[in-house]
Amino acid sequence: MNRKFLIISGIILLLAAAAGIFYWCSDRRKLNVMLDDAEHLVSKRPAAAPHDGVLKYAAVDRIFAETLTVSCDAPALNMSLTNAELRTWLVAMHRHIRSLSIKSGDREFHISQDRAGFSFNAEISGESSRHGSSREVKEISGRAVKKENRWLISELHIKSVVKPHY
Amino acid sequence: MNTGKSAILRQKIRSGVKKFLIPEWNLRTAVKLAVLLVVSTVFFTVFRPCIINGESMLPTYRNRKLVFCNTLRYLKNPPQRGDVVVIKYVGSKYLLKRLVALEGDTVGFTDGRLIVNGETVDEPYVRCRGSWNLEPVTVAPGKCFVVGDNRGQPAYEHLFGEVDLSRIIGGLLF
Repeated sequence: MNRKFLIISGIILLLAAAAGIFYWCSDRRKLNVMLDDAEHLVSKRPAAAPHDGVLKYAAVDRIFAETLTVSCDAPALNMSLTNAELRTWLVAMHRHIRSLSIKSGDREFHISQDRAGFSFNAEISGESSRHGSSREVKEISGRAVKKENRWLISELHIKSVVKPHY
Repeated sequence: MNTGKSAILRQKIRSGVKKFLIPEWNLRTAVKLAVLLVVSTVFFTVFRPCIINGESMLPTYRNRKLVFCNTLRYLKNPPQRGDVVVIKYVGSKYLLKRLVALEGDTVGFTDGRLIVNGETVDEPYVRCRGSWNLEPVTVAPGKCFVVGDNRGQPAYEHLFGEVDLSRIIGGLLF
């Protein structure tokens, strides 16, 4: 191997490593991880074991800010929840459903220092003992704040992509 | 004689196919390939191929039909009532619906008949009408009202309603 080849390979490897580190530390990646964690927290696998929930709900204060504002167009909803109230609400919701799956796509972020806005489309499908199975697509937007180098969701606005009138 | 001529013809076809499939690599070939790549990328980006999945647009568009979405359709002029539009749904999924009302219009259904701004709309593309009844609603600013052509489905099974105009990415090429 000649010297030139080694130098060029070394430079390429260093640039790749720098790009990787830069991406790892980037806010965009952290926001994506935050949304992935939120999806995992809200979802429920069919026939999930009882002990899954205990560890899962402990993550609420690592994903959501102290007060979370939620609004939804269908069903009409507008509320503010503390972490403890959110945890209670999630436990109650998961008790009434058999499964809930959230698949998000088209994520967009607007980041400004320690505040960020995000939006994405989510396909929400699930099954409950009372209402059977359903599948809907919602447009979800919200805000996140950065505390101690961690992004936390502070607002969520849920809108139907096709707003029904029946 | 004929055997000789056909053998020569077969040889010519084979060498022609071989020349086409395995060209001599030179600048001309590279430029041809690059142009082909650019043209096909532009074509399939501007005219996105989609396969219809569902029966909400029957009989106008049937299930599993291949269509092309023309993303330049509404570049200059906004969509109009009666247009079949492609709506961004989620990920790589799109909705194909007919736009029946624009912002500010009141839209409703009476015994399956579409009523826009108090007038019954003639819909020759609807073959089968269910007894849909919907109180008139006013379409909000920045939105439009879309519905499929297959009105034979019960209303609660059919995905229709208000959609943001910004979600309309184009119309069908044909």
